[in-house]
Amino acid sequence: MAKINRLLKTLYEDPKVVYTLLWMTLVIPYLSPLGLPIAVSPRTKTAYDTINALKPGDVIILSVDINAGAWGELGAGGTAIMRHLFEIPGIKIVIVNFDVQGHIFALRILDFIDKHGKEYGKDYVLLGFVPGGKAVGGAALASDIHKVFQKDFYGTDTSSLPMMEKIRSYKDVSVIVDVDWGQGTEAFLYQWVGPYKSKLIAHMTSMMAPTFEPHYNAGNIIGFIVGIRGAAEYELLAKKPGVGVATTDALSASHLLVVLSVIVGNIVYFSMKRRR
Amino acid sequence: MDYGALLALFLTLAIFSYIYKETVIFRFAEHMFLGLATAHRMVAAYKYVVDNAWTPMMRGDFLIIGGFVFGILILLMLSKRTEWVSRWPLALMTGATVGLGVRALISVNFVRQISATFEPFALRLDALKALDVVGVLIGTVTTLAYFTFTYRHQGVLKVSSRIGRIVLMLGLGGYFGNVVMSRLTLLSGRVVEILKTLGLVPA
Repeated sequence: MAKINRLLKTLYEDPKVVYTLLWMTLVIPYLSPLGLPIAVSPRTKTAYDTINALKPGDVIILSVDINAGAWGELGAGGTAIMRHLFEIPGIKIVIVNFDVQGHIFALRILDFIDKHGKEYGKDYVLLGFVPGGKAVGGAALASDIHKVFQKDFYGTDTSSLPMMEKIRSYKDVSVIVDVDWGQGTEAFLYQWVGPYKSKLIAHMTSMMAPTFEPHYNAGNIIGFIVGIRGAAEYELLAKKPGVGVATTDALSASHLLVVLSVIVGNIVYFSMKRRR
Repeated sequence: MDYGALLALFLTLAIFSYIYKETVIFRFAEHMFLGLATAHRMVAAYKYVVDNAWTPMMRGDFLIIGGFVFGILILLMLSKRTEWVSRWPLALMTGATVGLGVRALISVNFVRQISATFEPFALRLDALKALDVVGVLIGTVTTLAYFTFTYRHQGVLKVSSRIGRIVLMLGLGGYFGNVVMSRLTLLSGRVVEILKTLGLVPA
C-alpha cells in the first residue's frame, strides 16, 4: 500500500502526468466515440422551440459574441443555432457583435452553412461591432439601429439595404439570440429585456452560466443553452449531430479523470498524513 | 494545403509548450496573440470613428462635432498638465453608463427575481417544480440569514445561518465545477482543431 501511495504521489506531484492523461482522455473519444447518452434539458428545448416557432416576417437579432478563446465552447452551438435560423423561411436575421472579435466568427460560420436561398441585404445582414459598451451601446441599439450602424460591416449604407427599411429599433425585433461568452448578455438584459420586455435566448459558456442562471429562473432569459453540453442538446433537437455531440463524449471522459484525480489525491493525502 | 490551419496548429502547440516550461516559442506565441488582439481592437475603433463620426461630419452633420471634440479631450490625459480636462468626457461617459445601467437594474435584478423566488406553490402543479421552488426559497432565506450581522447568531438564526453556509458552499462548488467544465471545453476545442488539421477527424 505504501509503495502504491508513493507511486501515486510521485505521479500526481508532476503536472505533466496529469496533463498527459487529460490530453489522452480528450483525444481518444474523438478518434473512437463512446456514444454516451445525452438528455435534452427543458431550457435548451424552450430555446429550440421558440426559434422553431418563428414565422415569416419575424426579425431576429443574432449577437455573435464569440472570441478566439471561446470558439471551442461556443462554436458548435453558434453554428447549430445559425444553421437552424437560416432553415426557417421568411425570417430576417440581423447579425451584430458586442465582442470586437465576434464578426470574425460570425463570418466563419456564415462561410460554411447552407443559407437556404437567403440573400444578403434582403434576408440577413451583418452589421458588425456595437461600440459604446454594454450600457450605452445596448441602449443606443435598442432605440435606433440605423444611428448606431450607418454602414454595415462591408461599408454599405445600412439604409440602402432592403430589409433594414422596416427594422429600426427594439419595436421591430421579435427575438434576440445571444451567443456569448459574457459581453452582450448584460447589454440585452438591462437595455432590452428590462425596459422593453424583449425576448432573449442566450447561449453562453459554462463558466458564465451560473451568473445568468437566476435570470433564466426569473424569466428574463426565456431559453438558455449552456456550454458545449447545451450545444450538443441543440444539435440533437435539430437532428444534426456535430461537433457538440462529439465533444460531449470527450468532456465526459475528462470529467471522469478529474473526479478520479480528486479521489486518488484525497486518498494519498490522508494516508500520508496518517503515516506521519 | 491550408497554411492558416498549420499556423494555428503551431501556435496552439507553442502555447501548450508552457506545460513543459516557459520557452522562447511560448513567449513568441503569447506576444503575437496580444499584439494581434490589440491591433484588431484599434482597427475596429478606428473604423467606427470613421464610419459614424468622421464621414457624417464631412457630409454636413455638424452636431456630431461635440462628441468628436469630447473624444479627443480624453487623449489629454496623456499629459500631466492637461490631465484635468480629460475628466470632463470621462465624467460624461461614466454618468451615461451608470444612468443607463441603473434604469433596468431594479426590475431585472430585484423585482423579477424576488417574485420568481416567492412564486405561489399552488401555481406549480408539477411536484418536482414545487420541490425546486421550496429548495430555492429555503436556500435564499438561509443564505440571507448567514449574511445577517445585526443580530447575534443564536437559536433559529444560528441554525438557518449554518444551513445558509452549506447552501453557499454548494453554490460555490457548482460554480467551480462549471469553471472546470468550461476550461476543459476550451481545451477540447483546441484538441479537435489539431485533430482536424492532422486529418484524424473529418473537417
